[in-house]
Amino acid sequence: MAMLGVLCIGGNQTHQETHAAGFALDPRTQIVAVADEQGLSERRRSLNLALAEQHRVPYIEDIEEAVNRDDVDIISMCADVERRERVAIQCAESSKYLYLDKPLAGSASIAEKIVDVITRNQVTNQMYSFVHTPWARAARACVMSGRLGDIKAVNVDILFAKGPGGTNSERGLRVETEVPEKFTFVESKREFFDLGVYPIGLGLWLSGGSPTEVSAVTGNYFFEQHLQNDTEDFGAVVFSTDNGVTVSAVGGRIGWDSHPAGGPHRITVIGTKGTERFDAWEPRLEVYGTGLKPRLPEPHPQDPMGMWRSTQQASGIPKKTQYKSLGD
Amino acid sequence: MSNLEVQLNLLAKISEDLTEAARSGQIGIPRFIRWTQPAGILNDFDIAQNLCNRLFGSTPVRSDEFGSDPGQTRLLIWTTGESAILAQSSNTPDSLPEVMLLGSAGAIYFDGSGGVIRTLEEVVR
Repeated sequence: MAMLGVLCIGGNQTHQETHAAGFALDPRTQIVAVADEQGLSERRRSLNLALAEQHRVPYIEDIEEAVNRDDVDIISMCADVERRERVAIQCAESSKYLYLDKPLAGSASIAEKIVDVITRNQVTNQMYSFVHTPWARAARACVMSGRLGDIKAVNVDILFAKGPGGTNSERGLRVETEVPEKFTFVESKREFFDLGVYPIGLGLWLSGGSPTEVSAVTGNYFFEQHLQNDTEDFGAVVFSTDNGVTVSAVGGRIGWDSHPAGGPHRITVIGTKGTERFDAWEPRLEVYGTGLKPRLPEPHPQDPMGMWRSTQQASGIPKKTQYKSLGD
Repeated sequence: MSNLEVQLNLLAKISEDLTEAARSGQIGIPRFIRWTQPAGILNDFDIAQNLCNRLFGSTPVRSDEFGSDPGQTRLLIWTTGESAILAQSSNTPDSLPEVMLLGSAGAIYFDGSGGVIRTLEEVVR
């Protein structure tokens, strides 16, 4: 069977690190190049080059040239959010298969523009989400089975226990910006923007409806770095849908010590006949012993919040061992 | 003691223990509470909201209500930035609530009996 050629746009210290590792391991795919735009910061360019060197493929500083290569079948696109509109549209115009980073764009209008181009070019595409996880599929099967009767509410919590929390002791109501100018910082990112897509996406998928009334809050609850950069580390939204379901979605980064594993990943479905919970860590083994508890090492200078796979590995962040999910 | 009294006493005990644990300083400043309680016997969020007010030190400046029992959901926001989501499930009245209390430096979880734990077949297939 011929392997599908993958073009990776973006490099290390983006989600492309993880996507590229997956493509490299998959016997059906082969990474053929890494690409991005010209005129990037030296930091971004060197991180892109590092990913290309890691996978021993060329680095191409021209999106149009890269996406139109004959050996490219799939484009995995992880350009910075600030440039995502321009790059995503170039990718969609090539009509290649598209694997898009989440969230799709920094505003609803840009997202709609990208979707329009994808639709016009009839591009097969997928945005990264949690809908393929076993516990989310189990929740979907439950909803579709009808065993809970009419679905009245879906509660979803997707929080990540990463980074040295407990550094922000200030209290105050956060004022959110409708369309922020900047999303990407070395020491923080907009966590509800970046992670909220998981619980909101799951809530929409499971409810089967569209939002009609929305209320939300974001916060600076855990990290000083997020407060300093005016980037939220937490968010919660509740909305009603046009088919009578109430969805509540909670997302954010809560600090490494705030959960015995990777963080709360949970769906609760409430129907007229009952309530069921679907949790990434259930059923599980719980392990306790006299061994030393894993500790968070000194922060990596290029990634003090421990956001990325490569820097997590480089700084030696240990794997937590207290929970062992049977679904792993 | 009636079922209602037992249930209310139980929720009050959970609320007291959460307050004590939060005030021990282990989780830093209390920031967010998700509280999902059984429907039926309990028709309001008084115990949960009192817990929030106690931990956050004031009453909320905003309260938005969605849906009806079961599934009734309330989003609360405090002027000092804290927030909470309170919800009614459709579990039997003798079941336990689910609580997640996030603090600036830690968290407290009470899993209660919020649902049927899915079968292993659903997890590993």
